[in-house]
Amino acid sequence: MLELVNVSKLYGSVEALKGVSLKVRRGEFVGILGPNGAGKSTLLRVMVGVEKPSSGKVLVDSKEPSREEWASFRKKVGFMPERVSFYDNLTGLETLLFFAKLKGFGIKEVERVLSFGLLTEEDLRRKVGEYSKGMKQRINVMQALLGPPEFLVMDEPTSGLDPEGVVRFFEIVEELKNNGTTVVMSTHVVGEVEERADRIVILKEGRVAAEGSPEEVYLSMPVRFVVKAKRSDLIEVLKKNGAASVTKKGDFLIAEVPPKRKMEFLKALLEHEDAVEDLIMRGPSLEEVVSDGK
Amino acid sequence: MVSEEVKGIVRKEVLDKYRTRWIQLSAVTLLIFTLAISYFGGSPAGVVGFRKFEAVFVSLLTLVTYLIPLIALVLGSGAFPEEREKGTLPILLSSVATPEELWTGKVAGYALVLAGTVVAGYLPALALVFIKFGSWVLPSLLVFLLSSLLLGTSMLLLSMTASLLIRERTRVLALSLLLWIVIVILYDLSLLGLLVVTKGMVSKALFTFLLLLNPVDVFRMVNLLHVGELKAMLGFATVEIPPYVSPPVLWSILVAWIIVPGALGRLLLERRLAG
Ligand SMILES: Nc1ncnc2c1ncn2[C@@H]1O[C@H](COP(=O)(O)OP(=O)(O)OP(=O)(O)O)[C@@H](O)[C@H]1O
Ligand SMILES: [Mg+2]
Repeated sequence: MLELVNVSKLYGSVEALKGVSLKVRRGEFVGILGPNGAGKSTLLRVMVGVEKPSSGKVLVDSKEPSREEWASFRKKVGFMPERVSFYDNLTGLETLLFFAKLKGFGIKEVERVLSFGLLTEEDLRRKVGEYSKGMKQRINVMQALLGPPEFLVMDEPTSGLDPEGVVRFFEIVEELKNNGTTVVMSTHVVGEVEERADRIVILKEGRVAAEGSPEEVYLSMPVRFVVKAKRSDLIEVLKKNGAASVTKKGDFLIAEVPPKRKMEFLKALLEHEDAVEDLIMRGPSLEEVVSDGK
Repeated sequence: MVSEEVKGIVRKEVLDKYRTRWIQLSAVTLLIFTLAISYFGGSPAGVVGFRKFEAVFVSLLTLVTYLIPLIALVLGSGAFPEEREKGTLPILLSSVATPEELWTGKVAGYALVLAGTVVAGYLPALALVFIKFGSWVLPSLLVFLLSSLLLGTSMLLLSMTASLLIRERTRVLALSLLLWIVIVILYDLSLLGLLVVTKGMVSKALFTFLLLLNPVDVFRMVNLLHVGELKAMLGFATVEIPPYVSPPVLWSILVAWIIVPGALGRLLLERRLAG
């Protein structure tokens, strides 16, 4: 339903996005991961048309939307930006009514969102200026759920929520997803999207560093073999047969094997079975993938 | 005619701003000063009570010439930086509201808030003046109120438009205060300076024309012209008011000072907000 083609975004001299290409299919749950400053928030803002890319294209249903088409696309979008503090002098309820109106919905829609039970009626009558961080985040979630949207885009929705809030949040998202809503969310908690997401996009320094189902992302990453060696010449064998690097640590050899050479490496190990006392194979965790590297 | 989105924005601004402490404080300040002037204004030292209506009127005029632009400029300077700082701007932009609706809603909402502040700040004093001097002052009071609202709205639009050009609220505020100093104080001072330095060589026609460029001077003139006897008391008594400076012309200038920044802001909004 949405496609970014070679999208770049410049803020002065800062290049927040550097040629990002990405597809979001209807009904999909896409998780966006990446370190601070990777460009996640920028990417999400470009996706919902709040910011125009400096170069590249955003396609909705395979074509560049006109102004009118953007407008009708927005009707279907629920967007939850990061760090919203809202209007201090409005109550929670007034705030939701305002955003409902702005999106062309009435009190019915507000009532539906209230029924999720993210805030108590008593809290909703209090001014948002008195809210805690997590309560503001709950209002932010609620305004994005108005519609309900066909396309839900959320920037770190769980940050600031208590554990119970996180559980409730994913129950609601799950239900929406079962009804066909497309969901894109960024997060720093890998576990939140690791099991749930159909696809994961890892951004680093404004580029897509990895993309695909969680399994595909794992497959695309180098694997680490820790080999307990019986013979010292094994290190040379491993270096020649697939390992990008081998380091020695006591009796153990630690080999980093690029994704395409795993089989070659295993074959060599089998051929030199007599030199191998034992073996540990460790895929990188998604956390490692997100935080360090290639 | 007016879309639900626009109504929603107006409603939000009114709800939010009337509960803002400094807006309430502005209304109270206006109220206290106008009331004090209406009561004590123009009285010779030691004698409390009313003297001539004209004296009170001129004092009121002088006061609001400073206060109304100040309140309006400060109010408008937060219009868009506020949404940016609160992080709500992306939600507004991702909503169904078009930039035109956003601008219309904001302007209408802020103008209503300002109007409410001005009316609340004026009403007791105007009522007092009315009671003391009788119904013949009513036209002057209405001119005073209406022109104050027009002046305020134009200053409001000026700083709202500035708030689209500059991202940080504090900088817009600084610019607004600078505008206030220039429009309300420096402009007249430099005109007077010009008169003095050139020893009156500047033609009166040119001088009047320059006065007509400044909305605050136009505001002053429109009020003084409507109160017949006051022409004699004009601060710029040296100026002969040429016949083309009629009330309709002055009112039109005040309205133009609303329309021009209003249209400019609308144009800017589309260009700037999404950028
Ligand atoms: N409005 C802006 N003006 C200037 N620079 C910006 C702006 N928004 C983002 N940037 C820059 O773009 C880069 C990416 O920022 P972005 O907020 O997209 O990162 P992020 O992945 O969301 O980070 P985080 O995990 O901290 O939320 C950063 O270098 C940031 O400083
Ligand atoms: Mg971010």
